[in-house]
Amino acid sequence: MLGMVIGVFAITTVLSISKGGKELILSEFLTAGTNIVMAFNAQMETRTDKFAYLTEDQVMTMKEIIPQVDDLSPVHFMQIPLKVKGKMKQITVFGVPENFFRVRGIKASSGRMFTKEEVNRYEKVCVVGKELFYDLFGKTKKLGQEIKVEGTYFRVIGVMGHKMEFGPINVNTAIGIPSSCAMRLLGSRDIYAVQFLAKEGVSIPLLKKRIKEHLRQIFGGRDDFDVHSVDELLSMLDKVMGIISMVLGSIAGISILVGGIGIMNIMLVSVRERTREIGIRKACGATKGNILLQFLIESLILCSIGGGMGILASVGLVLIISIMFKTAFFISSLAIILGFGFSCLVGIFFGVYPAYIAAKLNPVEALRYE
Amino acid sequence: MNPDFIKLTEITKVYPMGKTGFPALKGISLSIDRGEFIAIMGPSGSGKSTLMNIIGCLDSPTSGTYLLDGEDIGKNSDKELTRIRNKRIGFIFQSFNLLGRQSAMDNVLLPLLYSCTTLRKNRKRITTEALERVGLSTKLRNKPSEMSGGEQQRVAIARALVNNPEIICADEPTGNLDSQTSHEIMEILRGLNKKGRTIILVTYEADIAGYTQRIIRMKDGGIIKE
Ligand SMILES: Nc1ncnc2c1ncn2[C@@H]1O[C@H](COP(=O)(O)OP(=O)(O)OP(=O)(O)O)[C@@H](O)[C@H]1O
Ligand SMILES: [Mg+2]
Repeated sequence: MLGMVIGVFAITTVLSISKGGKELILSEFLTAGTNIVMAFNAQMETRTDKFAYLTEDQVMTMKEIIPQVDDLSPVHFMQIPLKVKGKMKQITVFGVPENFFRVRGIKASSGRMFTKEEVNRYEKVCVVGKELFYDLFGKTKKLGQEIKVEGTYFRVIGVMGHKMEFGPINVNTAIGIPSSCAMRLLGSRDIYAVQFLAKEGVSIPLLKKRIKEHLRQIFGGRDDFDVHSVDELLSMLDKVMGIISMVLGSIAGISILVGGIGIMNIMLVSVRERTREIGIRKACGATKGNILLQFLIESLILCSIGGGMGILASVGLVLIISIMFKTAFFISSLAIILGFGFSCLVGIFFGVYPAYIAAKLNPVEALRYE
Repeated sequence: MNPDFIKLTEITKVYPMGKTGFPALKGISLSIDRGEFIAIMGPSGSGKSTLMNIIGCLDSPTSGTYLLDGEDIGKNSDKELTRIRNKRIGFIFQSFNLLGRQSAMDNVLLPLLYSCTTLRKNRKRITTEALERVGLSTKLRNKPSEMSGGEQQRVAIARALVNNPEIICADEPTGNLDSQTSHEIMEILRGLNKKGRTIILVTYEADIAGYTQRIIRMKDGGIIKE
């Protein structure tokens, strides 16, 4: 019975996580489209001139040279120390033109993103990732506070809505400022990362190849920049999910086998204990089919109870996961139906033998049984 | 019309035991007419219950022929035997054989459930009527553990009656009851016989056998005297 619970729990959880979770992640990217490619210097950790970089001209001409590119935005980086929840922490600040947010599909969860004019006017405004904003200012939704970056105060005008981590920035814990200000603060116009938006219908691997080739040309045959796309991330996620599914799946398989055998045992004992009852029923005109059905239904009920408990546990776990990761509840109904269906199937499979034994009992001997 | 309602010819029953098996019935020939009330008597182990079970289609003979209303029972499949048990035969046992966890009503309902011919809405009425006929109209909801032996046996009789069978097989129905209750039970059976049912009764007690019209005596798997 416990085996049944664990087994169905594992099945439902596997299905929920792999299906519901994937859907959730997909929907996360769907607003941005999966058509983003990011090129960045992989060695880059801090601001230094030792590493390969791109100039503004080189970046801007890429838009004309590579026809598959719809839009692009250069990204400047710096790390600043900031007091978060009483502790000093290195926080990523990225300087971008205003189109970065549209390309990446980032929406303001409150306030707004900065505009082209603000970028052009070197306006000292910034947008903060949702997680970081909470850590800095608590639950107050109030904007307008100021954050000190390299000695300059930036006014918070918006909070960036939640986004999956991708490439060198996790926007949830970063601060975005206008690219103009970033370049002035850094004292350099070097570009270490570029975000590309593919044209509609363009194959992402093809675009990646074109960008790679072009960058190799710029850097004299060396691959100084890494080129990554969102679908890569998805396929990696798929792989991880696959492993989780396999592990949980084999746990499920074993526990259901054990559970099923347990159920069979319970039913065999029940048949023996109720031998006399079977005799009475047969004397009253119960056919083999009647008895078979009666015991099959009983084992089915046993398994459904086990399965139901497993499903409940799984729903609970998924609920906890969804609260922990602040995501929408994603238990899949398919998983529940499959989990339940499977437990019923096991009930029938392991119930057939005891039921068959009950059905073929000789009524005279069954009635004599003490 | 066939004059012999139940006709057994050279019936033997060998229980599988050891190398040769145990012969419980050694060639029984017997005819019972419709509406007869007949007692089978004999010492323990003489094969009374074995014979009764064969007549009641609970068991099949090792050899010999059994004609019930002209129909050769030996040729019937297990499914047909079950149907005959359900429709044409009612059983009453020494140990009552009620389902312990179910009420009197539910116990009586059992044969109706398996016959599938009774409409759901009529079931309640029919079971209640059957229990009323044995004088238990006030104990419909009682479980067997909440009733006396006599009452339990009356529930068993009601259950045997509910499908309106032609034959009632009663294997020592009074074996577990005191003489007062035994006579009450026998009165009920006599009443049923008056209404045309064929009743076959197994008993040790001479005064119980006195209720019947014919007594068959058995010994060592054979009939010694009618
Ligand atoms: N399933 C069986 N296997 C082997 N032998 C059996 C079986 N059933 C009955 N017998 C034997 O067959 C013989 C007749 O049994 P049966 O039950 O018909 O006797 P009975 O006349 O009803 O006895 P009692 O009055 O004690 O009920 C007995 O000797 C019994 O031991
Ligand atoms: Mg007997």
